[in-house]
Amino acid sequence: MGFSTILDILASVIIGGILLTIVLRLSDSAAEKTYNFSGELSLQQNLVTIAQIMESDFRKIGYSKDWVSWKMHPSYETPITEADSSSIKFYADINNDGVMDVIHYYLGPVSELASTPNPRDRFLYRVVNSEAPVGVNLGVTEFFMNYFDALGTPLTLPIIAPSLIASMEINIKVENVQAYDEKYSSAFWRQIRLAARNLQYR
Amino acid sequence: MNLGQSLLAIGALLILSLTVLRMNNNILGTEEVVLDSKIGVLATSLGSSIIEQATKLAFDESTKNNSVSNWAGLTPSIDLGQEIPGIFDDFDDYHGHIQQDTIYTIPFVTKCNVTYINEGNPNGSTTNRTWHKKLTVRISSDFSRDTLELSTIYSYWYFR
Repeated sequence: MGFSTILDILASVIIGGILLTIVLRLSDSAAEKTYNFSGELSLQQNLVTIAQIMESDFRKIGYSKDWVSWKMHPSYETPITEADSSSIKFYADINNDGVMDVIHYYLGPVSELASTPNPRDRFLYRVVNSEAPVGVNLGVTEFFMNYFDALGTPLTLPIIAPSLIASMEINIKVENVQAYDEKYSSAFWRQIRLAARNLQYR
Repeated sequence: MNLGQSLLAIGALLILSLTVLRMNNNILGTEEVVLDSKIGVLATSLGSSIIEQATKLAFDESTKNNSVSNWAGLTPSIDLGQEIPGIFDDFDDYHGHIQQDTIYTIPFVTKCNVTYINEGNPNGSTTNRTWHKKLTVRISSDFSRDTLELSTIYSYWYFR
């Protein structure tokens, strides 16, 4: 085997190695992107689902199909009974049966989802009446609300007089529960003003 | 290496290069779609916020405190918009309203337009006064290719 042949083999090995590296990186990148894009799709679907459910519930604050009975209820003037930055409790006839339901939204602690790779995700609870809270992990990492009175002035937290609330701002951030190489994607929803129709005439 | 082998090697490298380029192009394209979608979700939240605020108000300046039983009592289409700048007290005050928001460092510009519509043609508009007004909200961002358009129809009603 001559010297030029050895050179040929060496050059081939080097070029082959470079090509192999390129292909491996490409494959790695493709796997990462596929994983992340699937995660993005999932988290955006989660976000939209949360926003739809919350908007639907919040619009019904103080609504009742049986308005006459509801008007006699002690909470008629204050359908929002509790309001804080990351929790709210209110009356609404969500299933339109004339019976008022108590809806409670609140954010659970991070420790509840310590088993997931994402260190920030939490349960966002939606409890109707006295049913047991059931957590569904949709990757919520932030949920905070701001409240405004009828003139649009921000109300200071904690809310001492929930009857003053005329509209609210809802902020939600969701992240992937799992991510490739711990690079978590996120998506946001900010409803700048959500005004339940039945809050404005009080 | 003879000429034939060299050509084959060059051809193989070319195919590999094209594959890598195509793959990167696909990844970037998908990333753009994902980003667009995220911005679209935010833009939708902005648009629906404005629609929420507008539909909470009175149908017309003249229906704020009293009922109106004739079209002539409503605001002429040429006068739609804010009577007092900065005060939103009826639905058509959003006509010509431009709002700039920055959400998570993404700037948005929202432009609103209110017109009267005929009940037989809700997609169009009319200069005549009717019992129905349409609010069209257009939200654009320098970070997004498309402008999002949302609209709602608000009709006049009162308890008798």
